[in-house]
Amino acid sequence: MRSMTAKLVRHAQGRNLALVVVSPYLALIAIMAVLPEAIAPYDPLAIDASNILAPPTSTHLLGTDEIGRDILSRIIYGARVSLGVALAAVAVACLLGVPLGVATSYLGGRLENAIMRAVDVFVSLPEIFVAIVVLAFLGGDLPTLVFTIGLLYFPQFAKVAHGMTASIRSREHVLAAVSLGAGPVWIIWREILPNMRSVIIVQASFTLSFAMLLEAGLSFLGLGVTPPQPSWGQMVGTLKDYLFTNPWPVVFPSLALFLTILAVNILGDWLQDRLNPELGG
Amino acid sequence: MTQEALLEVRGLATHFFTGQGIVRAVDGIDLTVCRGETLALVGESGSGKSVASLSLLRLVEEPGRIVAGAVRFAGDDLLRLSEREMEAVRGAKIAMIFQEPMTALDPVQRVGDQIAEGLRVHEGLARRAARARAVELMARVGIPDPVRRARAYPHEMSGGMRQRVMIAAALSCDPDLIIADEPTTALDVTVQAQILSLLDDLKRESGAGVLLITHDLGVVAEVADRVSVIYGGQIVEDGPVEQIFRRPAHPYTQGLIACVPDVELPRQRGRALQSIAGSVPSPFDRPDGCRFRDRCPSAFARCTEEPVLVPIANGHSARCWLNVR
Amino acid sequence: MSVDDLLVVRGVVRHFPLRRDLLGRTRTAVRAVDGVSFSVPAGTALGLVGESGCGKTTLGRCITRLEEPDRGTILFDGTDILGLAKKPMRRLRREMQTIFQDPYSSLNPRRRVGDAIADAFGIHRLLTPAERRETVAELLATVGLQREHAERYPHEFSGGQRQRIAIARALALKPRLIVADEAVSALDVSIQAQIVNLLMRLQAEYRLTYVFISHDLGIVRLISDHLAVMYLGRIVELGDAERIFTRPLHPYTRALLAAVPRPDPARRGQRLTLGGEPPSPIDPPPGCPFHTRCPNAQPRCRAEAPVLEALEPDRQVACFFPGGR
Repeated sequence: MRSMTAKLVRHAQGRNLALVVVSPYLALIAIMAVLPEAIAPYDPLAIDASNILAPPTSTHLLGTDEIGRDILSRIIYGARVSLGVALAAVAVACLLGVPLGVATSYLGGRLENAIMRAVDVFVSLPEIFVAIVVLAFLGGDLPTLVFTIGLLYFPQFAKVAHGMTASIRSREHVLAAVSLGAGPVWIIWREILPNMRSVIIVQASFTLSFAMLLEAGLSFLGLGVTPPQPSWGQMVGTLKDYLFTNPWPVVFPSLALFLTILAVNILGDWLQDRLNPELGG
Repeated sequence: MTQEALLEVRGLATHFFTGQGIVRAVDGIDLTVCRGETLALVGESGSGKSVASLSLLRLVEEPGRIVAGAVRFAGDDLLRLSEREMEAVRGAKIAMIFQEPMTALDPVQRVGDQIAEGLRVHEGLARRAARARAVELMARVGIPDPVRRARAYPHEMSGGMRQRVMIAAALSCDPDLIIADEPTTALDVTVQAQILSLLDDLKRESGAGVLLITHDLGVVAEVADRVSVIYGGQIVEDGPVEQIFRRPAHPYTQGLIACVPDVELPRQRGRALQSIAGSVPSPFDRPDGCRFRDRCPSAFARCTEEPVLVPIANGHSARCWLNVR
Repeated sequence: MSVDDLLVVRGVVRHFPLRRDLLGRTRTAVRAVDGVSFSVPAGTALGLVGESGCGKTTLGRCITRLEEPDRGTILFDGTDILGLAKKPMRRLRREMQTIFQDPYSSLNPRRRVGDAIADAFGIHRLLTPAERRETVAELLATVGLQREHAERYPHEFSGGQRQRIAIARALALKPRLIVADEAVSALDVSIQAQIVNLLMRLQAEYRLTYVFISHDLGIVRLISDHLAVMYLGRIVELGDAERIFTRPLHPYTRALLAAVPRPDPARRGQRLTLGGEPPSPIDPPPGCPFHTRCPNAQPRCRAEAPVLEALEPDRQVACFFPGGR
C-alpha cells in the first residue's frame, strides 16, 4: 500500500511550472549556440565606430561594447562557446569517469581502494586554481580548455558510477544474470549501465552548470577563449572595467550566464525527480 | 456484546485525485472498535487498509483527501476537529505502531528520549520525570536492562527490541486506542509470538481498544476479537473472529482462509493448495458491481450489481449476493 | 549420501569479515554459515528454514556459488563446483538457478520481460532470434502468462506476475536444481498460494530438485521431502520433513513450530513462546548456539557444542538432550 501511495503522489505531481518557463528558454539558448548566424542581427566582430559603449537603442538592442561591437550578437555567438565548451567538458568527464568508476568497482580489493582514494584527492583539488595553472602553462586553446575542465569534473562521475555499480550489483536481477552464466561485460552492459543512466544524466546536468561557471571564470580572467571570439565570461571580464562609467554592456552577458545556469539547474532538479529510480521512472 | 464503542467509523471515504483520475482507495467503510477489544482489519496490498488507518488520524497526504464519512472517537468527530485539536489526539489518545520500527524511530536520538518526548509534549512532564517514566515503560514492554537500553540508538537494537520501543512510546500517554499497522510482519515467528502476546497483555491491563491492521490470518486468529475484511476499498465481511473462521460468508474471506497452508496438516504429495485466481485489482480499474466478481469462483449474473453489507447472524455481515436469497 | 544425490554440501563455511587488522587478517566476522553439511537427492525438495540472520540465504547463495564459501565442498551431480574455473562454472550455471525473494528487484526495470528471459539464451549463444521468441512464448505459457507479455516492462506487472516471470527465466535453460530463496514471502496471501502451486507443478513436470528456503513453515511443509532447520549458521535438525513436523526433536525446531500462529481462534493462547532473540552471529555464544534461549539447557550445553548426530534413520539432531530429556 505504501508503494502504491507513492505512485499516486507521483501521478499527481504532473507538470512542473518552472519547467514550462525553463524549457523554451533553454531551447532558445540551444538555437543561439547551433545557428547564431540565423538570429544574430550583426556580425559579432563588426565594429560600429559611431556607437561605443552605447546603452540599449533600437539599432543595438542591448547596446555595444568598448570598441563598438553589438552586444546582443556577441551574446548569441558567445552561447556557442559557453554551452559548447561546457557540454564537451561534461562529455569528457563522463566518458572518463563512468568507465573508471564501474571498472574500479569490479576490481575490488586494495586496487579499488587505492584508485578511489586517488579520485578523492582529485575531488579536493581547488578547481579554479588548477585550471589557472594548467592553462597558464599550456595556453588557452579550446581543446585544452575542454580537457582541463573535463579532467577537473571526471572524479564526480567516477564516484557516482562507482557507488551506483556497487549498489546495483547487489540487486537480485544482477544475481539472476550471474546465475544464468553471464560474465562481467554482459552484466555491465545490460544490467548495470542502463540502470545508472538516469543518475548519470542528472549528474551531467548539474556538472554542466559548474562547467559553464568555470569556463566563464577562466575566460573572465583571460585564460579561456581567446579574443576576438566572444564568450560570456570573457565579455564580462572585458566590460567590467566600464562598470562605473557605463553599466549597461556588462549587465547583459552576466544575465545570460546567470539565467542559463539557473535554467540548467532547474532542469537538473526536475530530471532528478523525474528519473528517480525509487519512483520507478 | 454490549460494550461501549470507543471508535466508530461511518462511511469513511478517502480518494486520491491523480492525473489519471480519481482513485477510491477507501470507499465508504464502517468500523467499530470497543474498549478492551481488538478489531483486525484484514486485507491484501492495495486493499485500502493502510490508507484507512492513516485516514483515521487524518494523516493522508496529497493528492489523497478524505471526502466523506465520520470518525467518532470519545465524543468527537475527528474529521471536524481543528488541526490543533487533532495533534492533541494523535500520540496521546490514539497511538500508532508501524510495521518497520526502524523508519518510524529517529535514528539519531536515543530510544529513551524518543519515548520521553511524547510524555513531555502531551503530559508536560519535566525531562527527568519523562526519562524515568520512559525506563518504566521499557521495563513494562519487556526490554531487559531498561536503564542501559534507554541510552541506545535504534540501530543498536534488534527488530524485536525496536518494536518493543515503538510499543513503549505508543503506551507512554495511556492511549485509549492503539492502531497497529502490520506490527509483526517484519519480525521472525518466535519474536512475533512474543510481541503479539505483549500487545494482548497490555490491552487487557489498560483496557484500550486495538485496531490491528494485517494481512496475516494466523495473527488475526491469535489476537483479534472481531474481524473486518477489506477488499477494493470496501469492507466485504465483518464479524466476531470465531464466526469469520468457522463460517466465513464472503467467497473472498473463504478463499483467503483456504489459501493459508496449515503447518499441522500432514503433507500429501501432489495436492495443490487452494488459491484465489487472478490478482488483486489495481485501484485504477476495479470491476463495477461486486469488486471481487472477476476472481470469485461462485460469481453469477447478479454480481454486476453492487452488493451491500447484509447481516447474516448476530454481529456478522457480508457484502455478497450469495447471502441474499 | 547416495548415488542419487544431485547436491552434496560438506562442511561449508562462510564468514563475512567486518574488521581486519593491519596485516589484513580478519579480526571480527559475521559467521553467516558455520560448517553445514547435507545432501539433496535428485527430484526431491529440501526445505531450509530458520529465522532471519540464521544464514539460510547465504547458504543458498553458496550452493549456487553466487557467494564464494570460505571452506567446504559442494558437489553438483558429482562435480566439485568450488574447484571449477570461471568458464566451466558459467557453463554449469545452466543447471542450477535461483528464484529470489523480491520480484521488484529480481527483474531489470530497463529490460522488456521477453528480453530478460531470452538473455538466458543470449548469454550461452543458443537458438536463433526466432527460436528464442518462440521459446520465450512457451516459457511464459508454462508459468501462466501470455505471449504478448514479452513486450512489456516489469513495472507493468503485479508482484505475483513478476514472480512468474522470474520463474520463467529460471526455467529457460532447463536447470536441474532450483534454489527458491523466500520465493513467495513478498507476495500477497492469495497470490502466494498460486505461486506455490506453480512451483509444485513444475517440480513434478520437469523432475526438478528444489532447495526451498523460507521462514513460512506451513508452505515448507507443503513442498518439502526433507527439512533442514538452521540456527545461527548451523543446521540443528535435519531429516525427513514429515517426521520432523510431526515429532520435532531439537528444542529450537519445537519452539519454531509452536510459534507459528494458527488460523484457529479456538486454540488461542495455547502456544508456548520462546523467550529472547537469536544472539548475534558476530559473537555467537560458546557451546550450543541455542543454549541462551533453550528451555532445557544444562551446564553441558554451555560448555560444549553438540554436533549433528543420526538419532534414527533419516534424522540428525544437534542436541545433547533431544526430545527434551
